Amino acid sequence: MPSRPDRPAHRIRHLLTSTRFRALLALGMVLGVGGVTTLAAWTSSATATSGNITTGSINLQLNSTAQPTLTKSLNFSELGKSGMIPGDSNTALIKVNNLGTGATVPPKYTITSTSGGALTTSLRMTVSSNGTVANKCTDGTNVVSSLALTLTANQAIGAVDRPLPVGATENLCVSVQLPTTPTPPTNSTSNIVLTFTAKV
Amino acid sequence: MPNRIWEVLLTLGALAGLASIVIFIAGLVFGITPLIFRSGSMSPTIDTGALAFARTVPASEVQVGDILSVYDSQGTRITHRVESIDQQGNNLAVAQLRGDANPIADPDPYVITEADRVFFSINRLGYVAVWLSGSSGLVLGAIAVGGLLYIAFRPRRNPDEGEPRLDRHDAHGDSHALKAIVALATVGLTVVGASQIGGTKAGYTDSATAQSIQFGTAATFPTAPSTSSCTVNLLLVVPVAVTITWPATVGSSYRLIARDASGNLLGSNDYTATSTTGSMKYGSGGTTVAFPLIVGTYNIEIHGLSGTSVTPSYSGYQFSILVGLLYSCGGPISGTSALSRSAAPALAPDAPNTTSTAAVSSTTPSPTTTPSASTTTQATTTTSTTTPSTTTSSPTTTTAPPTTTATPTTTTTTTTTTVPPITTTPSEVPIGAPATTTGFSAQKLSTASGNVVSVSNSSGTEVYRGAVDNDAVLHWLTGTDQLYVITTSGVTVIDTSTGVWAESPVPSELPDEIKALVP
Repeated sequence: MPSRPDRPAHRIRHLLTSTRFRALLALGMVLGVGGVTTLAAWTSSATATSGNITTGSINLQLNSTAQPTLTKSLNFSELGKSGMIPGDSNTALIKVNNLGTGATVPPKYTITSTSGGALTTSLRMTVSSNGTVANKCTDGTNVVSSLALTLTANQAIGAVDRPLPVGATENLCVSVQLPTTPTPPTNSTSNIVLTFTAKV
Repeated sequence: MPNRIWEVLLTLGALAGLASIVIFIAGLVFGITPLIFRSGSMSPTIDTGALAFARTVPASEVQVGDILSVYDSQGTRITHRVESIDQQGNNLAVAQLRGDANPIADPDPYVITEADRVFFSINRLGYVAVWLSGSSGLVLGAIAVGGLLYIAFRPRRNPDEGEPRLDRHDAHGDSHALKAIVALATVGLTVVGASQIGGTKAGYTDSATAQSIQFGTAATFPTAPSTSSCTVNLLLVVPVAVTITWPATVGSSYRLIARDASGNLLGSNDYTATSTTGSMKYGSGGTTVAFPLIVGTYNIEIHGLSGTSVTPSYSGYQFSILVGLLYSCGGPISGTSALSRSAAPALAPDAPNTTSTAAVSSTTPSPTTTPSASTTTQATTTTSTTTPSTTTSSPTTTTAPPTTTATPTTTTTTTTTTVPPITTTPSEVPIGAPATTTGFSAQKLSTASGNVVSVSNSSGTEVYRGAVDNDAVLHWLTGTDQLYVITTSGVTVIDTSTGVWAESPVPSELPDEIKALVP
């Protein structure tokens, strides 16, 4: 019988209560550590996630009518439009070029859109392959039709994995409409970045 | 003595637990994400195995030099330093990241609206976190939970009676409970513990972005009037003009577009209201819109106008001209005129042949029955609101020319379609080769009134005509229906962005394609 406490009853009760309380508090440590490790995201830093592969390379480049020079970071401001009123739209053409070499497997690419601004959710996007400005991309091969833009990052524009063989160029027609209903906000803006991601 | 150690441990555990709870809740409240580094691309700042804490910030707050944690196109989390950032506005940014230990930047830019910004990191602590999140950590956690729960809720008796027996009983129970807890935890872990975090497979990818796409709405949206009305203006006794009026908002602008019965564009006038009634006069003393037909029915569409924006919707009025002189009001019209280019509008005052099926009135009035009264009584006009079925009646005046000219119009109009549209203007000589784009052609012409640019659609109908300098270069912006007229003195754009073929504001920055042509 080691260390039997010889103390008044209230002291013991107090101590016991305290033990219980401290034991419960100590559970918080498990919660905290568990929570952190559960939430902890694993970060990576693979430097070469793109570019050369053993059988060749993939290289996606963009250009447009206003910016004919091939680039990976295209200024596509020609699609934008200010002073829009309900019913307005704007259309522009963009070319997606696969300048890769020698890849035995034809790469595919996926279009996503990331937008910001209160006007974003009022906008509708129509994309077609080989569509024309005159028809606001309703001609050609439809990719997406009157898609309501959202503020979600990397919103999918059409189906993923559009085939794009090495050396090929896809002429995309992009049209953004501002429908009359529901009435869009005045003096409101939206910024859009379209991302074209190719993978083998 | 063991009891004393136990007490200290319990107290420390309680304090650590309290701190953990506070930190955990604070993390949830302030959007703090713990991050474990599994590679050394950020060393020496942050080594492999470090535990870092990041807080979610909007893209607009991100600056060069920040350490951001973002997802790449493969869905892998990458935590690197911002090398450059291109703010697009509206909390949208395109960031280029590079690891401190990496010689080159990450291949793909990241489009972000928000990102986790690292504000604190402890090297090596990540290993502990990893170990704790592994099987052994879960076992330890389960034992700790079970043990602590047991301590907290173990059955107790009145300590005043039979304490030695109680202790023995407790010890007995403790060991049983611990064994049960360990067994349960082991079983549970074999089920749950398999869920390990797998390594990501970096696929071969490449991405490109199209940026700087900005949209904005006008400060105010133009509105078309809901109604309009029409009155005849008399000169002495002759109805030489009509005045279209509509309820207007002071300060608002309106665009009045005149079309013939086929919808061909004849001209347009902009009007800014200075009172609550807008008005526009057509005919003698009115605007300069030329109405080509001697006899015809015309539609005036009143669109809202704000800046260069024109509402597609309109209301308006119809009126008729008889023998080129006598004007009469038709009925109200309204609708949505397509801003499309396929309407084949014709703005050709000198080409009356382009209008063809104008007066297709099934109920042609018989003016021959009216030359009765010596006084000038305005004949009533009954007009349906739809364009093709207009019944034009004529005003009766004593001065009216022989009314026989009115009746033949229904026959003559049908024949005019055979007249080639452009060849009937022999006084015009083309200058140089036409510039063409899909569906449209632009040609410089030398006319009696000077050099003009004439834009025609695919069927050869002229849709626009305007004066140009002799040295003007015509160039369709590739892939668009925008005609750039480039001269030594400047650049003008002709397109349908305002709803009709007209000169448009030149973009603040000329497309490269145009820049190359500017002398």
